[in-house]
Parts: sequence; structure tokens; C-alpha cells
Amino acid sequence: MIRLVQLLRGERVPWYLLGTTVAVFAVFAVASPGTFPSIANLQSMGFQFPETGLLGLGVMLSMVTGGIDLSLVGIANLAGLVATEFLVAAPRLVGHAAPPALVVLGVLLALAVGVGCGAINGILIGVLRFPPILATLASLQFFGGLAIAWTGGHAVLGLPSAFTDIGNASPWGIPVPVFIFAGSALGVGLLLNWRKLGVLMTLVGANPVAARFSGIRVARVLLGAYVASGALASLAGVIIVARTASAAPDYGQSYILLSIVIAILAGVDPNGGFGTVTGIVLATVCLTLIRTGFDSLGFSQFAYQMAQGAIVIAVLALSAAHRTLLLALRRRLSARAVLHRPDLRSVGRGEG
Amino acid sequence: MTLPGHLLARAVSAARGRTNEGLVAVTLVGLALAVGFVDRRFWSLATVFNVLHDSFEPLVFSLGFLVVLLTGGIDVSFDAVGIFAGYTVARLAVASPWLAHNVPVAFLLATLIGVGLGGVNAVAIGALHLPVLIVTLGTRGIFTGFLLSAIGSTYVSVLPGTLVDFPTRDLVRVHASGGQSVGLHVLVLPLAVLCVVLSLFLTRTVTGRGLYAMGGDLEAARRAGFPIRLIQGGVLCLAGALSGLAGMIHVALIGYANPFDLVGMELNVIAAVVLGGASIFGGRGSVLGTVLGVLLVSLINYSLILLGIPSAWQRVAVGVLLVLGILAQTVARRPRRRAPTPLQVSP
Repeated sequence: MIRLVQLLRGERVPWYLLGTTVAVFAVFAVASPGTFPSIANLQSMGFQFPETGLLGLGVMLSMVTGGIDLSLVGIANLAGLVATEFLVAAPRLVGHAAPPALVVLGVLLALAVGVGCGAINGILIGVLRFPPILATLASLQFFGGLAIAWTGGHAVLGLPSAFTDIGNASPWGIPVPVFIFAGSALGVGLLLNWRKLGVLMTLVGANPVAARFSGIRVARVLLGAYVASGALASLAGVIIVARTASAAPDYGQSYILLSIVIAILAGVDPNGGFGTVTGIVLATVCLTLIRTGFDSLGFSQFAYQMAQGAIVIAVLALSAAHRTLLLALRRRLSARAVLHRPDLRSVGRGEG
Repeated sequence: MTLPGHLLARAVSAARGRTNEGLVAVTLVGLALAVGFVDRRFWSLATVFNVLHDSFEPLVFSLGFLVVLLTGGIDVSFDAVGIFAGYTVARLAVASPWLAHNVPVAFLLATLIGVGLGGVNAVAIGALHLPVLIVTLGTRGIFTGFLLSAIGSTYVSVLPGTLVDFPTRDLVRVHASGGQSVGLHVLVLPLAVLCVVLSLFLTRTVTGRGLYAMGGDLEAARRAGFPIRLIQGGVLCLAGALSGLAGMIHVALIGYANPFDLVGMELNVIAAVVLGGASIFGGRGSVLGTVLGVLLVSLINYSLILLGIPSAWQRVAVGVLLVLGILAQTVARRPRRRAPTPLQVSP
């Protein structure tokens, strides 16, 4: 256990975000004490936030390498659709196999789709050197378009209940999606801080030229990053399909920007080289708290949209101001140190 | 007799244009020829009019996106600005009969609303020193949220006054094969003027060149004496104005105002601009290329409908086309390994 904690030591906790999340919870708990902090409300949040959180994790992985992944919603929808089509057709294809085995097969199929789509992104970006924003823009059109063309734009229904349990059951009072999200978050945390691939991803994102000249196989690292984010998206797709009990090919268009908002809020550097899983988890929880809090106060969804935009700008402005303040303070302090130490004065003058 | 290789190469590169306009034009013509061979109805004036009609709104959005992109910023708030302006003007027109009977004023008002929202973007970006992409991600949520919670979230199903006749204001009408007639909408004139003026601004004025300079190298542009902050603010307001205008075109042409419209079309606009040869990193792109890119996307959508292919496939087609377009750009920009040909051009 201690070893695990040590492995995750790279996960610096973004304190301002933690503070915001706690403050948001406190404000809504005081404003609507009857409905907001209730078990039922927390459970319903537990069903909602994992899908956006998984997409946020995927976007973070791509941002850490200095790229961006806009295609995740397309991958999620395609993966969810493949799993649904398989499970709907399964009784005809394989006779009456045990439902749990079929469900596992369905999830594995979705994961395979996610990995495949991620590999396409990885090849476009790593091998053919497309700018990530364009490559994933094109593949979003492609994956999303495939899903729509396959179903003709209609939702596919008829999922077995063993599968919809993934999105609706809550053993020991904790929704299944929360387990999936927690497992994935831990996995991504270990990948980033422990595995060689994760460290290489950070290095490639921090300085791609230096990485190339140090003999890092950049194409391979990028391939790994986009395959991982594709796999995360396909898990989100499984949750979405299971929770809504149908596969809608154009589900969650607003998730594309939401997942980027989460990553930015989490303090992931959009220029690459830095990102924490803790940040993603906190940012997702914070936005979900605000959303459900607005619901419990009877505000409209539109007010939430407005608040979401305002929060992103406020948090970024705060962290930018914080950084400049810290820099200015450090400069003042070091200047004073020079003034108070005669032995350093000549050095200071020499530089000035 | 054959042309010397390097002359041919030079002719090809000249025809291709600085930002691949030639390549896009060839694709456009090739596609039109190919579809025409499959279905003869395609080769008609009606097709031209229809494709132009479908291009009006995305074109104006694309031009707004282009000017910000040239300076190296990615503005993703344009659809929110567009529907904000279009829907607000529609609501105002319902309330005031005077506005409903003065269509040009309605368009001007939408443009001004766009300038205001672009100004909000400009102030936020100028004050916070944050990337355009990130700030506009925030402001688009604010704009949409404000529109839906403060201005309205209900459908304006019939536009009032003379606005209702706007979709049928045609310059000329031709009879299509199906028996119905197709018109060339009057909007084609002001939009052509807009394209020419914007193109002249970008290529012939110092401020216009400043946009390219900023996108090419911000620090170099600053040291060359371009007023960086002023240009950035102005460009964001210009983009807002064009987005507001495009939103009004959208509302006026479909004849109703739905505040939930336009969301999700932002990627089509970005795709069209990039297909038109603009660099996603800024500093490269042209009005002509953007016009061709928008026409290409519209033509694809129109052909798929004409050929009876389910419209669902149009997204796949645009995705594939985008990959090919980027591939053409990356291949063209890859440094040449071979030694440059010696300058022994014989007359």
C-alpha cells in the first residue's frame, strides 16, 4: 500500500481545485439541506459523472503528449454501438450462452473498438505527423459518421438486463460506473507515474524535439497515448449505452468540449508535459456537484452552462494570477537577499 | 515535344497556389464531373444555385473563424455567438414591427450583437493573457447559457414582417428537371462583396498583413512594430461580427429561430477552413481557399443527397476528405531531401 502511495507521488494535489470543490459542496449543502447532501442525490451523481470523467482522462493523456483528442465522443458512441449490436444479435449468433459471458464479450468488443480507433488516431498523429487537433477532428467525423450511417441515425434498443446493470446497479450502495471510473483513474495514474510509457509521454509532451533527439521513439509513444485514450473512451461508451439502455449514434455532442473543459480545469497543461489524475477526478466531481446543485435549487440547465463557462475562466485567471504573484514575490525576495548579503552584491551588479 | 520537368513542376506549383487553392479547385471540379457522369441532372444551373445557397451560412462562419486562425488563435465560440445574435434579433423582430420590416437593419443589428460578444472575448483574452481556444471555450458556455436563461429558450416558429419573405428573395429563377424552380438568392451579391473586401484587407493592407505576421511568429510581429493587442482585439470583434451575421443568415434562410440550433456544426466549419488550405497553427490561409473549402463541403453534401446516399454518410465523407486534405498539405510541406535543381532555366 505504501509502495502504491509512493508510486503516485507525482500526483500533486491541485489545492485550489480541491478548495473549490469542497466550497461548492458546502454552499449547495447549506442552500438546499434537504435534497443536496442526500444519499439518493449522491448516488445519482455517481451514475452521471464517470462517463465524462473517463473522457476527461482520455483528453488528459493526449494533452500530456502535447496533443488533443477531439474524437473521444465518436469512439465512445461507436464502441457502445458495436457492443449493443453484438448483444442484440448474440442470441441468434451463439445460441443461449450464459448472459454474464456475453456481457463480458460485449465489453471486450467495445474495448477492442476503442483500441482500434485509438490506433488509427495514433498512426495519423505519430507516423503521418498530422497535427493532433486536425487528425482527431477528421476521425471524429469518421467514427461518428460510421455510427450514424450504420444505424441510419436511430437509437438501437433491446439490451439484455445483465448489461444494463453496468449503468444502473449499485452494489453496496455504490454505482457500478464509479467502480469503473475509480479503476481507470488508478490505472491511468499508475501509467503516468510508474510505467515507462507514461514517463515517455510526459517527456514527449514537454519537448518533442528534445525527445526525438534523445532517441525516444516518439511515434510509438504517441500511438500508446492515443490507444489508451481510445480505450478509456470505449469504457465511457459502455457506461453510456448501459445507463441509457440504448445506443444513440449521436449521443453526447456537448461532451467533446466538456471533456476539454474538465482537462483545462484540472490544470492539465494544453501545451503538454503536465497533467494529474487527481486533477481530472476533482474537476469532474466539481462540475457534477455544480450541475446537480443547480438542479436541486431549481435553476435551469442553461444557468449551469453559464456557470461552467464562468468557472473555467475564473479558475484559470486565479491560477494565472497566483503564478505571477508567486513569481513577483520570489523575485522581490531574491533581490532582498542580494541586498542583505554583501558577498553577493557584486554578483547581482554584474548581472544587472 | 515535352515540357522540361522543372517548368512543368513550376507550372504545377503555381496552379496549386500558395495554400493549395488549386488542389481544392481541382477536387471540386473533379467531383462535379464524376457526380455528373453518374447522374446527368447534376450538370445544371440548379445545382450551382443550390450549392451556393447551402454555402452562404457556413461561408460567413468560416471567414470569421479564418481571421482568428490567421493570427494563431482558435475561436470556438462562433456558433454560440451566431445563434445568440440570430435568435435575439428574431425575438426583437417579433416585439417590434419596425425591425421586422427593415431586413437590412435586422442584419446590421445581428452583426453589432456579434461585435459586442466578440468584444467580450477580446476583453477576456486581453485581460487574462490566456489562449484564445481556452477563453472561448468558457465564453461559449456563458453566451449559450445567457441566451437560453435570459433571452429565451422557445422556438420562434414564424418570422414576422418582411423577414418571412426573405428566403424567396431571388435574383433569377431557373426551372429544375423535377418541375420545381430554383432561385439564385440575392445574398450572393453582398457576400461576394464581403469576400472581395476581406481578401483585399488581408492581402493589401498593413493591418491585414499583421494578422499573418502574428500567426507566423508573434514575437517577431511584435518587434516589427505591429500593435499586437489592438490587432488581436480587432480580429476577435471582426470574427464576432461575421458570426453574428452568419447566425442571422441561418435564421433568415430557414425561416424560424431555434435557440438550440447550430451547436455541433462548429467542426464542419473548422473542417472547411482547413480543407481550404489554412494552417491550424496560424499564419497561412486565404479567403479564396476558404470559399473553395466551403463549396467543396457543400458540394459533397449536395451530391450525396442527389445520388440517394443516406445523408448519414456525409460525415464519413467529410472525415475522409479532411484526412486526404491534411495529407496533401503535410506531404507538400515535408522538407525535400533531393538537392535543389540548379537554376539553368533556358528561355
